[in-house]
Amino acid sequence: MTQLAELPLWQRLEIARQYLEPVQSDYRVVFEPDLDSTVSTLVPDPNWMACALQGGILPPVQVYHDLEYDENGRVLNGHILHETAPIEAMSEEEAIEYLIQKDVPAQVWKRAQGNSVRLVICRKTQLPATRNWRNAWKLIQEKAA
Amino acid sequence: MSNLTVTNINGKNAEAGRVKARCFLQVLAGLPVVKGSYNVSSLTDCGAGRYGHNLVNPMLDTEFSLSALSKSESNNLYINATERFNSIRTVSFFEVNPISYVNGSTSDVGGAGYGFSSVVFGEQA
Repeated sequence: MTQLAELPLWQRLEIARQYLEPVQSDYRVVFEPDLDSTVSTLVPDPNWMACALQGGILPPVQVYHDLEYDENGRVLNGHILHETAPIEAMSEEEAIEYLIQKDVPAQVWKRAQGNSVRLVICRKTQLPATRNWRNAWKLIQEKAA
Repeated sequence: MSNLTVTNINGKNAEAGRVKARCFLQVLAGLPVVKGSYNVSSLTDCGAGRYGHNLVNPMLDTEFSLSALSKSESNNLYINATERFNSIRTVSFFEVNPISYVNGSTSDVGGAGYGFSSVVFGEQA
């Protein structure tokens, strides 16, 4: 019998897509990629979230950071995506932390400290319910005491 | 007769005819929502009508094929789509947006009858 962990990542995703119910997360990650642009909002994919909650499908997030590229941007060691043992089931909160390290630009989440708020995890009900003035959205620079 | 020996030393998925990622999203109550997808880890709402897609299994390089289209229940301006002109495509990220066929402007595809779909072909890492 073939174990799921023995399959390449894309096949694990195909099987998960077939058997797992999508999970719509209430969490959103709001971040400022740079000073000049409006805030970006990260929306977790429901099929990805189902994989994260199930466990045994997704590679450790470090694998994405360990990918190597040649001068043309071609991935040289893609095999680590498939050969590294998948991680166990995560809670929804852990999945959001994983997603931040995977999909939010490193310069946003990797800063040790600073005097400005550049990333906020919130629930979708805390975001504006209308897209009016979407390109003027900014993070409020008030830190909790 | 010649033999063709295929080795998969890079672990890549080279099945050229298969879709490597797809996503259908709608903007409901002011927020983009993924309604159907494969090989997508998250959407990045980068601004009005700007939808970034992050892939779970990255592509082998940035020269993958990408197709995107808006869906509309009624006749509206935003039925075309394009890859964002100044976005930086990587092996695991691309940004697309609906465009008006009248003046090229970008706007959200809002409402239940509207949607936005993207499909990726190419080789996966």
